Amino acid sequence: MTDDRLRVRTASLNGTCGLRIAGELDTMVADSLAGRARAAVDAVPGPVLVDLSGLKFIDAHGARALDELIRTLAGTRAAVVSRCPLRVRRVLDRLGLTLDSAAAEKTFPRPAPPTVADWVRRARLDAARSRLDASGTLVRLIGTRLRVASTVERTGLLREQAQQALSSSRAARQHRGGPGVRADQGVTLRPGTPAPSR
Amino acid sequence: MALEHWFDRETLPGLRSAVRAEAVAAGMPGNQADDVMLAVHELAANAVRHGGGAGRLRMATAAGELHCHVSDAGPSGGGACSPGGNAVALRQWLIQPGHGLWLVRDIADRLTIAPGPAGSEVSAVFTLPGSPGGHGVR
Repeated sequence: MTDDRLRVRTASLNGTCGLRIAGELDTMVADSLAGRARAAVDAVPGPVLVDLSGLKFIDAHGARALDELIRTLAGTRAAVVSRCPLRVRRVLDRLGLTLDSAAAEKTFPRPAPPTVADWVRRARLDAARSRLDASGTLVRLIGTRLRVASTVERTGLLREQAQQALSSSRAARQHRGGPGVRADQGVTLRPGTPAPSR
Repeated sequence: MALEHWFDRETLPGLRSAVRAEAVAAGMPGNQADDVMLAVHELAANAVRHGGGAGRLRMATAAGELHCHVSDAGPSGGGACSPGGNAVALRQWLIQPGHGLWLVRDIADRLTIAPGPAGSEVSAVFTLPGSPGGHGVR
């Protein structure tokens, strides 16, 4: 039995079942196609994509068997012919077979590939999100700068008050001619000195 | 050019290659050679399935035409005629739409079938390019 004349293989491709029928599909092996193909596709889930590009020869009986197979598959799970060589198409045309299946079209809507508009939309969303992140950071930076500025101011005021206290104690010492309050002896600033409001 | 090729179930693929090569050698373009290969295959396959399992092909060119003769020994292998023999022979050559013989008639320019319980002779003629007439090529 030379059954390697007809090769029936399946493979899983991104959630679909790729059914490859290759070699020679003539009347001698046509009756075995249905059984072999069904056994192969049962093992792989998903809609069936039929690849006939490796089919070197097909006769009337083979063509009818192929047509019957695709109709049967389309009845239980979606099936479309993804590739069909010209030599096979010419035989099918003579026989009036199209290997089409209205059922397959209904149950196997191919998701549309992303368009340029989709890419642009996504890029805009990403950019907007980045801008929001940047603004948030900017707000936090500004807030920090304000706090730093007010701290600097208060520090400056404190320094001024300290200097004033120093000079007035020096003046008092010179006036009295004796040791007075030394600047480094616990000079206290008046607590609660209000900082100028901004 | 003349070709004689015996065939059975196992040697059908070899027959197909030989027929296509002869058609190309006779000057046919690829598509037409494919058609001739298909037509002769259908005749040979018919002989294998219903005509005893084996047969003979003879091909020759003459007057701008390619002649292909396929003969078999009949379902009884060329044995004595039986009462139902003629009916069986005729059933072998029933032309059904969408089936092999219907395809041969669609492709060939002329088709002649001479069935018989002791064997059948079928002749399919294809017009070669450059010759007037011929409708088999699409």
